[in-house]
Amino acid sequence: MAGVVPYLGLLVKGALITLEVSALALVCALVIGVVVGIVATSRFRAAQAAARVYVELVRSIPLLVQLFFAYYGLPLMFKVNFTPYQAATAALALYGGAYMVEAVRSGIQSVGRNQWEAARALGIGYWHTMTYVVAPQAIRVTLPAAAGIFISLLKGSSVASIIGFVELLQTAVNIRNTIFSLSPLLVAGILYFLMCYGLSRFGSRVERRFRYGGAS
Amino acid sequence: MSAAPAAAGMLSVEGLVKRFGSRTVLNGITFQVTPGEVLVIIGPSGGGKSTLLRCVNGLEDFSSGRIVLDGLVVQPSGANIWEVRKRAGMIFQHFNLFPHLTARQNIELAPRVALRRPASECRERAEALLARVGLAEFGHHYPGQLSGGQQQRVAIARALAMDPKLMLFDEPTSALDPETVGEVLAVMKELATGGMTMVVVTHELNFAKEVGDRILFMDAGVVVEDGTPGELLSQPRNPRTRQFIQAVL
Amino acid sequence: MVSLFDPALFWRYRHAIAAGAAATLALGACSVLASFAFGLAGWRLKTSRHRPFAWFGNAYVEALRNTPDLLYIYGLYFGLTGVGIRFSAFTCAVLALGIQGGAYVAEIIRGAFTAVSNEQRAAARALSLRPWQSLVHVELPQMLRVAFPALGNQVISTLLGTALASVIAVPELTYQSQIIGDSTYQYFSVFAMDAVIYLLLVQILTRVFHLIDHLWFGKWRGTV
Repeated sequence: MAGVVPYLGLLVKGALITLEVSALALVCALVIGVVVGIVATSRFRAAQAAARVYVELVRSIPLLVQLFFAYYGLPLMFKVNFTPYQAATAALALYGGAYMVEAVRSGIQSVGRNQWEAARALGIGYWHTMTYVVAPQAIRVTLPAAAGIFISLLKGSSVASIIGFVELLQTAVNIRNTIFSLSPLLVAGILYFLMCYGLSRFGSRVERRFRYGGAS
Repeated sequence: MSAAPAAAGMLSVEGLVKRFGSRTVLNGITFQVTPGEVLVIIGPSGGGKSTLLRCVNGLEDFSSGRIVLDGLVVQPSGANIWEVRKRAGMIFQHFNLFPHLTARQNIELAPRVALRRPASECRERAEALLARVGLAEFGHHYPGQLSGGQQQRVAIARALAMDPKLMLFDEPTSALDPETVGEVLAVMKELATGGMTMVVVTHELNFAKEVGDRILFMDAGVVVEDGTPGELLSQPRNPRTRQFIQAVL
Repeated sequence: MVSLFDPALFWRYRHAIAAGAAATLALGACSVLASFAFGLAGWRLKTSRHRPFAWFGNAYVEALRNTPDLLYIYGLYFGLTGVGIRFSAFTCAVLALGIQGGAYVAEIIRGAFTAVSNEQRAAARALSLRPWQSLVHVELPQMLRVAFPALGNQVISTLLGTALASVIAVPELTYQSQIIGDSTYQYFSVFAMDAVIYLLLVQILTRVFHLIDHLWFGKWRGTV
């Protein structure tokens, strides 16, 4: 059991890599989510349909398969090779993006129609309404959801180990194959738990703050 | 009407006290109900009337006092509480019908499962009770498809299926549209005329006058006044009673 | 020459693909059942009146919701052989997916249970139905109705999770796809097909769940 001690540093480094990849993917997912989310709530039927197809696809296919497709399949189409890091980030971004679209959509729809009507009656245009009236309120729903998505990405990044990306789980497996003990996996589990649980507590606190802070 | 021990009657409540943390909801309630009697309890909201009913059939625990129903001592955690509940039927303000069962299945369930009567007997009895409350055609309807008044009548039939000795009514018409209040009160009146022992918490003072044998006025956890409908409603002795009656009538 | 899309590929390897799909379904079914078992146990633990049980139930749910599936697949696979238990890879995968899914199922059941109003329980008790009679005849049907959509989603989630079993060489769909891909280098076609099959399975399941929900629970219109 104690054989893992010399490797603790490596494991922490792995955790940092996991955090980095997930954070990067989250930022991309946020952008995708906001853009597609706004489009999805617009009046254009084609855009709504396209957004829905995107979300359905991502939610109906295992992350691993999406990752394989990105890492092995796409290079054939674009005639470039992706590094595991790039493929992982891209797949995670698209994966998280679909859930972000739903989060943004819920956020926007949580702002009642009467607010839109009031704004229009006051002569405020679509974009200004979106920016000053809807977005601040939508954030109350979207931000806690985003915390949840970040947690999913942290867990999902472990799947990238299969295409050779060395993050926390792969580090743990490598150490395990060296010292033949389960303890690196246990430590990895603890590190994942600390990251994710910490985030979920943060998300709850944010949600609670929003609930007490604003009239609804 | 069965002969009950003369002192106890059908229901006897002595010195009932119930505390909820630091709040005293019931502060020494004492009264008796004889077989076939209709006792109406009136009073402002929050006076503890619902809690009182729930203590009688053991749905609520109480801090001190003694409740005896049909010769059985009511102890919420006691083994005989199930026997108590078989003898006391309860009608709730919000009906509480089981939404996943049809009206007839709602009525059949408890006799079949708790009394272990054969299914065919339960079904026949259910049909008969539905007819008795005026809903003979509605057996296969789900609660979601029935009006409030119809649901409450099904609830009454459901309670009757257990052949209770005593029926407890917790504001049975408070959640109903005015048009349907009458149909439920009619069923209750028919029950009373038929000799059922009833304890009714209600705001319907006309019902109290027509059907009630005795009225209890409760406020802030105590019985303020106690008398016949004639006395209490037209010439209340206590100023609080007078105040309440004048406000409602 | 490696082309982008080669449909003939699917015909040539149809046996492997079919075998993979069958294994995915079998793995999915077993894992779902396991997750329900673990979920029920987890819920009973978590809502138990004994402090140590409740703590353990809570720990189970929180631990599994905050750690990745793959960790348990590796953990069970390496761990069990280390202790001398020789489970097949299939069994390891079922257990891993089962305990992961169980944490979510436990929460779903807990939510559904609290959604059934206390007044329903009061009505059952007033009719002298004992606690377990009330549970079976009154509460469970209503809980099922509330939990059904979430449970359906969880089933789909577990099914998609079976793809991870490929890392310990369970011959399900994704594993077969990798093998075909490695021998033909037609990765684009192979993983596209892989994706499409999952998509189809999920769509079919979703429709079936909607149908069941409509047929079975539709008659409760307007209540609960």
